[in-house]
Amino acid sequence: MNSRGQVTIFVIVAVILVAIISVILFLKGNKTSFREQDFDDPQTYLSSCIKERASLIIEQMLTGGGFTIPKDTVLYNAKQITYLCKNINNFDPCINQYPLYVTQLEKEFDSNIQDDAEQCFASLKQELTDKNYDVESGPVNVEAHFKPETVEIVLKSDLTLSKGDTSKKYERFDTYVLSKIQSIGFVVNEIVAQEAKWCYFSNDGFMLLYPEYDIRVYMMEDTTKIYTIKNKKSSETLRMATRGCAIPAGWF
Amino acid sequence: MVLDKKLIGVFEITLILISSFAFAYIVSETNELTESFGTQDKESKFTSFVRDKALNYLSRGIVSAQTSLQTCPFDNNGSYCQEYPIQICNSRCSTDCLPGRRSEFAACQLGTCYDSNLGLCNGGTPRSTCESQNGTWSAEQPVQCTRACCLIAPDGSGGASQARLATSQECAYLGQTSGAPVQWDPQTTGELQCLNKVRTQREGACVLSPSPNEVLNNCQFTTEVRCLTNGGTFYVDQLCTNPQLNTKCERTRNTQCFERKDGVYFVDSCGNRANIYDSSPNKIDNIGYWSSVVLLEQSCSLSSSLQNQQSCGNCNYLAGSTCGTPQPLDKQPNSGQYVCRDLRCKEPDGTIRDHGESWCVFESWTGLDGADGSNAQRATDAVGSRHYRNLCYEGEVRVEPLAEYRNGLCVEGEVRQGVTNAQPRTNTGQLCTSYNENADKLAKCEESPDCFLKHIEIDKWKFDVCVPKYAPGLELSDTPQPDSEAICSAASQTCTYYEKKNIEGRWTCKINCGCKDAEFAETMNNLCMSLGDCGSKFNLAGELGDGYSTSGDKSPKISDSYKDGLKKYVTPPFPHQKVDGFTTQQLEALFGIDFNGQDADEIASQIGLGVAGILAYGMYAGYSSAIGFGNGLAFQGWGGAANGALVGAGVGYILGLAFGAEGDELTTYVVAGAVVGAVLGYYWASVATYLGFGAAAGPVGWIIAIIVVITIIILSVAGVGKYREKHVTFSCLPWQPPSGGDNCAKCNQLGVECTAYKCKSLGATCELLNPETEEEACVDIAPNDVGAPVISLNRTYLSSNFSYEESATGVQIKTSAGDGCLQEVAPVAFDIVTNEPAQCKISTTRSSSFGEMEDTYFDSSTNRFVTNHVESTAMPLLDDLGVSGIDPNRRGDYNLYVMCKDRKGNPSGAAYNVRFCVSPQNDLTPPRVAKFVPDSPGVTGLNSTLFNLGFFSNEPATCKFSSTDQSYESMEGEATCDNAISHSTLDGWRCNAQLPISSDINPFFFRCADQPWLGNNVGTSGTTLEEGRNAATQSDTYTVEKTTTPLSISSATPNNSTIFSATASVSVTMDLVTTGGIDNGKAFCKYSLNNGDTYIDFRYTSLSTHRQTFTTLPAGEHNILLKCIDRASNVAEGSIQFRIEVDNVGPLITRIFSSGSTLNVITNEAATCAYATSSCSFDFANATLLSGLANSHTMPYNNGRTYRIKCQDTFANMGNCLSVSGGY
Repeated sequence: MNSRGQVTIFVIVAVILVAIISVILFLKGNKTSFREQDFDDPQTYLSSCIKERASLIIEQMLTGGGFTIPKDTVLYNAKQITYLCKNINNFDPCINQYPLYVTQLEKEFDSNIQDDAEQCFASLKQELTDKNYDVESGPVNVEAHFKPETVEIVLKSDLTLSKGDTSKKYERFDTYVLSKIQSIGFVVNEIVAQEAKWCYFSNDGFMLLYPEYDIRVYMMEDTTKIYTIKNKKSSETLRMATRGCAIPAGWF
Repeated sequence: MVLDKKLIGVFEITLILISSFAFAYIVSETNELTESFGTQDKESKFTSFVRDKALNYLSRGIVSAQTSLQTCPFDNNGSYCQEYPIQICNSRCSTDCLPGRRSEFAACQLGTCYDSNLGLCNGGTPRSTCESQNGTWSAEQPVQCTRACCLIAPDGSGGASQARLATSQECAYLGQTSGAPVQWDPQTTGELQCLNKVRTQREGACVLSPSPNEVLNNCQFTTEVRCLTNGGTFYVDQLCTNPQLNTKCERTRNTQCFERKDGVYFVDSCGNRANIYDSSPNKIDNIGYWSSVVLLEQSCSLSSSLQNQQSCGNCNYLAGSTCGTPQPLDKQPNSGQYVCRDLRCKEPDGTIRDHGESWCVFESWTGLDGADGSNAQRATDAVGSRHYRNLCYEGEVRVEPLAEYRNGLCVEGEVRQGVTNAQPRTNTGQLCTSYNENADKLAKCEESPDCFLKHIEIDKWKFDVCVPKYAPGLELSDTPQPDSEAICSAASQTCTYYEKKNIEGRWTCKINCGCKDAEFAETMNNLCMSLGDCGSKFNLAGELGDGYSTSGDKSPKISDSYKDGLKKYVTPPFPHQKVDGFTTQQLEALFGIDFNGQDADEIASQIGLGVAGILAYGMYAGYSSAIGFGNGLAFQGWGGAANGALVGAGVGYILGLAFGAEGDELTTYVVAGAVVGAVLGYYWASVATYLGFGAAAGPVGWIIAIIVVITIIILSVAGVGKYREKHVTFSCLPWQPPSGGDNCAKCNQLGVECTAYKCKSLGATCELLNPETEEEACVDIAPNDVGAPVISLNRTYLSSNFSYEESATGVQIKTSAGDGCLQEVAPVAFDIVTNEPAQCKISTTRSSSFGEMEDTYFDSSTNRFVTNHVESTAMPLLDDLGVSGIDPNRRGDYNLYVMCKDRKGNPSGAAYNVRFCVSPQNDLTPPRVAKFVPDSPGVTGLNSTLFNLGFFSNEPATCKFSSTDQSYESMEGEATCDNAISHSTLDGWRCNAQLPISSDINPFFFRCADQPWLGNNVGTSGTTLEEGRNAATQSDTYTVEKTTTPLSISSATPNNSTIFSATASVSVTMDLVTTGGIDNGKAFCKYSLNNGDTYIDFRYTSLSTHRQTFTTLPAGEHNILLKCIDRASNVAEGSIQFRIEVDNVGPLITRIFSSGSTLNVITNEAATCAYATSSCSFDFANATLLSGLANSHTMPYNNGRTYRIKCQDTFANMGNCLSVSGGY
């Protein structure tokens, strides 16, 4: 091979190397700007932000017996547990305090996610503005819906992003959080219904028929029962208290 | 609550006082020597009436009168519709309290709340709570709440991928949120039946077209519906690896777990589920095994001990195995990664428990020990112990505590060989005393699973008492607990033994001599400890606590060998004892349902408990039958579940019993009395034997007889052969923990867990600090207490008639008059105070230590740790002090010794001496009546001829009464007085009188004469008082008012009517109005569902209107017996008959005719009708309604058109569609 040929080969190799390096750099450059791409994709950003907040709220609700701020509570194992069914007197069955418990759960979540979702939306707008987008948006409306396997959060707002000659419009952003909180709510509802009627819930029978649930019951000295309901698949656990048909010492 | 406890205490104490007048049935009836004295049934009625009232208020848990409760719509804690005592209601309530009970205000009435969105129903909901949360409230359960099987993703052949019991709307909601089709099957109402729909789901190979450039078919193993939706060809029960289907899916050796499937399954190369994993060569590679579905029953059989878990994947969750990765104790599978994981549990002692199995754990002995009918028989549950239920669940043993104080009992049964099921139930032992009222009731004592007939027999002193078999716990409190004292006091008894003077002038015991000895204390302690945490018994640390006091002429103590016998109860025996379950009759009475012949699943659905409850007991027998074991879900299973349910629901039933089971009254608490008569009867029988001897022996015999008579007369004059009575009283007291706190730290090591009750039982200074926090601990709260309690006299307590002189060793109490000596029989009350709470004993014998002292505590403080100890006593006769004679200047010394110890066990040191100087009695003051019980005026029933009255005289006396005011001697009525000197009470000496009732207003005059031991003179002119006795010259008066109008039930609804319902069980409210009687209709009413075998109190009663709601009355004829009783024991009886008909059939169109342009439609029941012209499948809700809501309906009619008409009744039952197309 003559020297020209060798030079040609070197040039070709060099070109190829440069091309490869360019491609690598290009790809690398794309990765480093991934976050920025997120801002370009409002759905992904919002979903990520809302999901994080929603999971925290769900966790708080499960710990608080369905409420982010536990209300009428009893101290058990250093935790305040909410009474869902209670009668302060002896002998009579408990009085149902949340007869629309599952609906109440949804409302509780809905009222808590509003501010968080709006904050996420505001944060999105700020980030987009920082990226030199022209951002226009209308009023924000947030709705939450419980499903058997998920919690659906729908944020509705007219959002228009413009940059240069191009613009894009968005109307709704859907977020899905995997959670069995509604299914647990149904179980809680059943426990309370039975306690209000019979002062008794057969946790062992229920667990054997519905193996996806693990239900523990502990009776305190004043006959308050602490129920711990766990969905085995999601590992979500809700704890609540009932007090009814209490029998005092030496009741005769 | 402090206030409430005081109220309870006052009630109970009053009751005890009243009860003590009742000559207890038990003693008199079971002693053949006392038959002639009979019983005073009226007294017990009175007593039980008071008890009834007391129970009624106790049952409300807080206050003493129903009118004292107010309803708080929303309290400071955020709870709806709670009831508080009037005194505290406003302070606990964030809104204004409503002046009355919850049921009196519409906002707080309890009913069913319906969530129309989710279709959920919740009972026990206040109306305001429901409506404030946008629910729909109704007093009775609406038809929308009917639950039936909801099939999610049904396969079209009765099976489904998921199923559960749900309301129609709930089912629709599930479909809406899951995105799957649903089908609500109203014919399937049993939960087990419903869940089995998932098992019967039809599946098969769904063959799909090959992928591009492929020849072999694609395939999915799925349901027919899903297959057809995906456009495939469905081959039912075939696997995708069936060679005939020509698919690309091939056999593998891989396995997998699937959701909602118990077993380990092979999977094919396409990831489809195949048959159960079976590594045997004739299955794993067998084409046939990979071609079609093999039923679980025909697959490999997993041994019960999972010996072949490595080769067989036919797991069964209910039988104790499920698909999963092997755990440390599991074998590795021969193929794949999954095995039937062992869900059984291994206890520390190696016992293997099945998954789902439950069993009872007791922390001590439970139930009875000792031979039936013996003095030794007794309840054994140790103080501080609790019943627990252990549950084996997925390899983990879980511990579930039952109600504290042994109010919850654990009942265990065997559901199949070696497999147990345990359920909690309420301990009804506190009701056992209600069986003690008369012989008929006593005979039924042991029909209750929680009661036993305790027999006491010491020589001629014998009786039977119905007491708890599982001694309930009592609150162990530093402060006085009147309710505990009342419970224990049922075993407080006085035994009278008789001494006879022999010829040497010495007194020797002849009758009931065991009462002087340990035998009496031990026998009575056996009774006492059976009542609850009463008497002397051991705690779980093996330490003995105090719980009784003996006093009187002897103070016997329990022996050391007896204590050793008690100590064994601390450690539960192996195998452990069993607690009896409720009887079928009790369960039927509770639920108002005839269980016979009914399927358990149906019963569960009927009463709404849910099959979950049943399965807790009967699952192995029932559900497992589908896979080869067991005998089918049977009634026996129901019993266990219902027992569990009785934990709560039973309370109402139990209270019903408590308020008047089987008759008019409840317990006569005190089993005292009539013993004196018994012994006297024996004495006179003996005398008669002497006198009868001569008459049968001829002339010589007569001579002998005369000599004997003369001898008897001589001896009699000398007092030889004379009997005297002596008394020993056993006071059953609430158990007190042993001194100190050395065992506090053992609380977590003893039994299952440490609770406040257990902690307190371990020592007088033990206390559970920081409960329910991470710092919770049972600790000694006085670890450094070494100070001894200091004893002194409470100078201010002594009345002004007395003075005192203190010295280094004690105090001398004197009268203010004369030489300071107290006359014989003179009563005196004094208060000994300690500088710290202490337990104090008092005795006439000086002892060197607290432990050696006789077990005699102060009257007021008993064995409690308090600072004030009041003793009420009377000076003994000088003869009893060994000072005989007639010298008016003779004197005797009466010494009482007091020793105390504090909670820590520090003793007070040398005995504190309370001294009295006793002088001969020179009594010139006649006695008087200090107190009547009940207060005047008493009330009595319309037909009463006798009234039982109790009263106290201020000194030992005999008392008489008359309807006119006259002298003591002339009065015709005689009261029965307990006038033994040692039997003084704080109110004086007890007497009892039966007053004859002859008119509407009956005045009575009472007079008493003192020094009854001096006797009477019987002469020709009548009986006069012995010289020296003082009779009252002025009468104390008492009036009895008789009822003038009968008590009657003036209104009772529903009666003679038919109640229609769409459901099998119906909520019915029964209302009564009573009129007449002693209080213008105010009465307590009860009902009986079983023809009078058992009466249960109305839920709301005590005024002139009474209400009871039955939530689950079954269909059919009902005859409910009614009985009301007022304060004067007037009884009104009646009954209610009604019929419940289940209407689950739609209305029938019985006639259609046209009149002009109007079509008339007649239905066989009230209905709403609608029509459409399209087809019969029209949407009723959106169709055009016909006019008219009853049986007659009209609509415009065009003769040339065809109309489809459907009618729906008030229970939403839809009738058949009728097409009308021509003229009629």
